[in-house]
Amino acid sequence: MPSRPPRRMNLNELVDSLERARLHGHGGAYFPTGTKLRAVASQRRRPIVVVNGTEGEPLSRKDRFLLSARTDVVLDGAFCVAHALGADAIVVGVDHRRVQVIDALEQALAGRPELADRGAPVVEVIGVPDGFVSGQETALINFLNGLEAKPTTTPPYPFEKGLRGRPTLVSNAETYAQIGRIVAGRFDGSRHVTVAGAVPRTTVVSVRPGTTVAAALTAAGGVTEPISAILLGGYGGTWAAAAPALELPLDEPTLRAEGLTLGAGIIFALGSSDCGVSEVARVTRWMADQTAGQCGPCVFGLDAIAGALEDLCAPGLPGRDRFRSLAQVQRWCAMVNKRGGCAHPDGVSRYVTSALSVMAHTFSDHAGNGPCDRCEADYRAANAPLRRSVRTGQAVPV
Amino acid sequence: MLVLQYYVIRATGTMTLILFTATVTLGLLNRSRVATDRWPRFVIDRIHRNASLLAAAFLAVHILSAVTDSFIAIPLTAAFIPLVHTYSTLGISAAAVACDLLLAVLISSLVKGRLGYGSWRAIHWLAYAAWPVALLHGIGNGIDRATPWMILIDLICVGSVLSALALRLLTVPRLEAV
Amino acid sequence: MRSERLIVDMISCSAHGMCAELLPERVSLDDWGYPVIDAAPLDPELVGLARIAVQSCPKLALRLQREPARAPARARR
Repeated sequence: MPSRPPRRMNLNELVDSLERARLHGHGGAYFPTGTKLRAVASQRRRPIVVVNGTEGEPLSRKDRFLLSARTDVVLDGAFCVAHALGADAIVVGVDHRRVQVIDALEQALAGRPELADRGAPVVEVIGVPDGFVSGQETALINFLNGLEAKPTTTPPYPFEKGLRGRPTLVSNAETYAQIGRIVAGRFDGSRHVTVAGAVPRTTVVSVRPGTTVAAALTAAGGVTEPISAILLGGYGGTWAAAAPALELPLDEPTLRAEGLTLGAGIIFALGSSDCGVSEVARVTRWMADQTAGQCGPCVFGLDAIAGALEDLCAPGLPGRDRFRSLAQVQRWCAMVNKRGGCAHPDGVSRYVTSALSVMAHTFSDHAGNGPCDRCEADYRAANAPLRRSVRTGQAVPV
Repeated sequence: MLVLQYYVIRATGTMTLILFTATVTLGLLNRSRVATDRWPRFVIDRIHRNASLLAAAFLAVHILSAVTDSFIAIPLTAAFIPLVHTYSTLGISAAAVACDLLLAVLISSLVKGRLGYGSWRAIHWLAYAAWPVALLHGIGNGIDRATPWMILIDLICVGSVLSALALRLLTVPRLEAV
Repeated sequence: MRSERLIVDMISCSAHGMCAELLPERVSLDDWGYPVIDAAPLDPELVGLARIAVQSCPKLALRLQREPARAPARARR
């Protein structure tokens, strides 16, 4: 429960302090939050505030951490924004499977003093279907409007016509937490990052802008084996070679200048005992399956890219075919980029293209010499015949 | 009765049926994504469109010549409202129904851009209802309905639409936005 | 006169490919039959042809845009 209600600011004060703090969205798009707030406020109708806590990115843990362990800071931010915009409703969208997060939110809301105010916004916590694309802002708005959780063409953008057709501010849960800190005067530029891969366990760490990737890995318990490559920004993010990446500061402008981004705040370290090709093929197949199924380049293109990557890990394929598949991956990644209604294909394109350049040797080695031992093991595990368990009734490998 | 007008009614009626059939057939072929190098998609689409406009023109002359004919004396209302005329009620009513449906299809296609895809398609489907009704009007009222050549035309029309329809139903649909 | 650009609503598009037949100068098809559109402003002599392509799209997925859209960056994902 908050010790005292957070300060209330009017729109100009709030936008000014967000701009002074150079706050950008923490969901991955890195859009300046102050600008977004102004865009919503410039509309005629009464706005609605949406907290995007869907966290569809499989590697991310920071939003569920903040929503359940720093619930009041997130709500401070949301209430403050709602007050400044004159919004009459706050909707928090959470992956429907995360019952603990939803419970934490309900509990924190029960103790909020603002809700007793006259004209206080109505706050709702809503479970959203899981899936990578259902957290995309138009998909989330569509779901909250009673439609399928699939993206629609923009414009109109949510800031013009969002929830219930009203101007809607959709921001990531951590963005509201940052607003909460800025308003309380406790903002120091630090952010939350999920560290995954070759660390003892997936960990959420709070990092200051100067913190290096290496320091974040140490904070997450240290690497469990030598690192062969680092993925920044999650499954729609960018691979970087381990050695230079470890020294990079976790500061978005610096990373962007290097062609990198933390996206929704994700660091994934690929251990040298893992096969990069097999990892990239597995993730790409998963991402292809996550398509909303609306745009041809996404539906057919991502499936083709995933299939060609799987060719590199499949035993028994002639070398010529593997080389052709590798060349096709390059071509198709360029072909699907920027060709969807949302940026899902762009993310896959970036993920795969950067993997091909960072792990060029591994990929050409797979094309030339066929799958490595690790690929073969992964392939066998993935293609193992299944039988139904007598005890549990579930499918298990033979 | 003017002999010329008598011929005009018959000729325009038959021509409307042929052009309407061509329109429906080409529309179905286009939906099945039929195309060759000599006959690309846009050519079939253009012929579909032009045939439909030509059919509308023939239909207008057909109706006009029928309602102005002093011998058969069909009032103009009968061309648009079913079951108001005592003369061959069923056939003329079928004509009126087909005429109304076609008018809806024609107007909706002219303002397709403004209508939006969903509503346009819903209305465009009425053409599938209009075609058999129009055919029945010909079989029921056509002066030449019993002549071998008219029977042949009817059969060709039915065969053409049915085979295009079969092709359409057999074509695996591509990704369609819902 | 403001320049015009071709844009496609990929969610509505279902790969009929008529745009590529009618305006090969600006539209090609990818490996799956979906249009790849050159978004550069149209030369005046192409505007008429582009308009025909727009009107011919069976799904109304192709549009002419008057001016470059100035809107917030596209949402991620």
